[in-house]
Amino acid sequence: MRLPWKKRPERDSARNSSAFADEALPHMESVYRYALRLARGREDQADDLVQDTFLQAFRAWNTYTPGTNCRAWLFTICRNLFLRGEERRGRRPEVTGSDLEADVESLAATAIFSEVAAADPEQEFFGSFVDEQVMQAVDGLPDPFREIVVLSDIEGLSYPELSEVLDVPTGTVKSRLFRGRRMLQQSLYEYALEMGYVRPKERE
Amino acid sequence: MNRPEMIPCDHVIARLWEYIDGELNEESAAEVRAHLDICSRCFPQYDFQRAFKEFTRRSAQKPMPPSLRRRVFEAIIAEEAGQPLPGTVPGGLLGRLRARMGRLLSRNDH
Repeated sequence: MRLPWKKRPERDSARNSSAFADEALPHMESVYRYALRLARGREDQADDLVQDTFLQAFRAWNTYTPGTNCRAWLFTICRNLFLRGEERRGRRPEVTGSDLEADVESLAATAIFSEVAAADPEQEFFGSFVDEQVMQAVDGLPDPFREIVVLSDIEGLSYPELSEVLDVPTGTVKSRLFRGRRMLQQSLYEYALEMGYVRPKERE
Repeated sequence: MNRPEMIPCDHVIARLWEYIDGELNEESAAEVRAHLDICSRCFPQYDFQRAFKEFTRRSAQKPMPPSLRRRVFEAIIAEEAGQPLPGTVPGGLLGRLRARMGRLLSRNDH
């Protein structure tokens, strides 16, 4: 016979710790990568963000529904901590509403492809950068574009997951992500020109 | 000569990133794929964008320092020890958590 009160949610904290270790802790590398980019490569800020994220997640573990998207939940906590920290430091949002909505005319993936293809027929473009240079280009993106490129292209979140973590509709996810990618490509292309990795397209 | 199901290039380019991100439904994805298979103008764009996404991911794989991992574990253990939740068995849970953390530490430290 099953007693109804036995079905109440498990409150035993050893069990909580154990579930936390199983579900949350395996995402520490992901949270670290995200935090490091939010902090634009500043390691001490990223370290504090990671520690605070997991402490807060541990304290709030009873609000997490087991088996749901733990990684997205951790990203949300990390993001909120980052934004609150920026506010405390008196930093204003880098991009305001109207700028974020602009430029819907071309969401196509054309970007700098044709320029790179013409300048770099041997396809050496990708091989010419070291990781640090690519991450510096990512860190140069304004907050809303940087975080979406990281969560999508580095952490592999789907559009619905991005929509959940960033708290914006899917249409905004798309336009912001595509613009962020174009900005990143443009930035790396300009850097490659400057460094002589590729030669500018000759005008005929 | 286009087969009837062929969609034009600009439709493909407009949906290229959604295709690469795996966000198109089966029917749309099949249309894009069929086009890319035979289009010498769109395929290089697809190839570049796909490579770029992978390039970004690969460039970001710097591992987390083991010292930070240890710091996070220690902070959680301290939190758990300092503020026992109602209904805890003192000692037992801390030991279990520490043992588990220890296993994770040794697994990830080398």
